[in-house]
Amino acid sequence: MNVQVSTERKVDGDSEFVRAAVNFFVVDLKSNFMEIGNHLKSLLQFQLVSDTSSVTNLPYCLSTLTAECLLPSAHLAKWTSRINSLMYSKESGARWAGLCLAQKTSILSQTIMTDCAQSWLVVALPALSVREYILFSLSNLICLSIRGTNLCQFSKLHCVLCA
Amino acid sequence: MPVLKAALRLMRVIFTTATDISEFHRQVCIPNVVKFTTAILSLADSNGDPELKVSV
Repeated sequence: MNVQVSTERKVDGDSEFVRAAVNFFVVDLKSNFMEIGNHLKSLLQFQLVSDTSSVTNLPYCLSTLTAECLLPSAHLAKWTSRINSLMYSKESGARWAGLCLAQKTSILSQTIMTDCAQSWLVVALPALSVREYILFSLSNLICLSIRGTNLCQFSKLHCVLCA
Repeated sequence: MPVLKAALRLMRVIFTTATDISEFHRQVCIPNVVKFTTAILSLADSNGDPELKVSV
């Protein structure tokens, strides 16, 4: 009899523990969602605010973007419309940045890809028939290569430029 | 040709990742793959870049 009571208590304790753990994870998940939206928001506000800043900050944006960032949030619509506006930009650099961001987004989130694929293809297909180059200033190039993760490449580029 | 390469990469991802969604495949991929292949073949003919030719 005593044994039975003690096991019941133990079960009660366990379920309380489980409830507390679930609560903890829910709170944790909520705060994570806040962070997720915030990261997308900060990218939009600081890194992708203009065409030129989008090009120079592209390595940072690509390296910090995760699949969790692209879960449904309030900023997702702004994100896709920003990618679209970059793709339709007159500057070829901004178009390049838009295409790269679209590629990363479609790798990370299949739902966004299926939603936007048609509009992205409309931009990407004509790009095949036009041959164009992006003109970078020297400072821009150095900025880009420093921000890119590969420092080895930067030193190589630096050597080429200085030679 | 960074824009060209980015466009190629994006389209490769679009055409290859959603093969399990048949509706998407039928409506988006199939009409565009034809345009994509013709564009890329003419590109490979006119372009001297061997790397591009190999990828085609």
